[in-house]
Amino acid sequence: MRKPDAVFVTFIAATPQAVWDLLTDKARSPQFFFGYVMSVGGAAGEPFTVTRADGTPDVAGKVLVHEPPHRLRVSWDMVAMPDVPTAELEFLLEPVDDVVRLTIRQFDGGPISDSFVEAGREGWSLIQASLKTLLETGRPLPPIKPRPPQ
Amino acid sequence: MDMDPVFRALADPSRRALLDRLHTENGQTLGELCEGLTMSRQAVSKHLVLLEEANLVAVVWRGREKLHYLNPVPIAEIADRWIGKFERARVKALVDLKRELESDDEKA
Repeated sequence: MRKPDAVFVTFIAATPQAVWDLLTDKARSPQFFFGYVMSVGGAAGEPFTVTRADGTPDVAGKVLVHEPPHRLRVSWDMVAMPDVPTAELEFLLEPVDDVVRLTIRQFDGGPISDSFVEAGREGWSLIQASLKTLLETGRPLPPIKPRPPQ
Repeated sequence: MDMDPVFRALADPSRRALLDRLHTENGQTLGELCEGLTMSRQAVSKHLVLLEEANLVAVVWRGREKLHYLNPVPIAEIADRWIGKFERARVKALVDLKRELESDDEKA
């Protein structure tokens, strides 16, 4: 097995099916993907795309592995940055007791810049946190709750 | 989410140093992580268990090799709890500004 370049893990109080349904739901994807629309084809070989709110294509790729509700793997090409080598992203949904461990593994297509590494870290962390909040509370992001001074 | 294990794990400077090493080079074995450290292999191993339990370190097995990855998600979850959607961009701008100014200081 190839060594992943980055790994992101969160535990979500939901079923693998509920996580899979949200992850592959184009209509709900802007709620956890910074307002972008993520579209996941329904079988291996079908297109995988991420599109900005204004309709600009951001990522083009293909579904490589489609095993609902446990494993999804896609190829990832930055449309506006042809110099960035094609990456692959794998989503693993495993039941642990009565929750789901959601793992995202990132396989870079070659060396990428530090700013890209940082952007990926920040982006996937926030997407995972948003998925968790959305599934557990039904809200896209928690409202700010300032605590009164003691 | 129970944040206590995350804060407990982050409270120790040795564990923060291990996270720094994974931040620089992700996906290391225990042996690689121990290189150049004054801590014993046993101590590093104990710290890694606590980091794993707090989900700050994610593990990938490749054959018999156990690879350790920095998992930033619990920290994002903490940010999600106290930083709102619209404030995030401003906080990030401030952090970037601070980093920029401090790196200039270092050069001077």
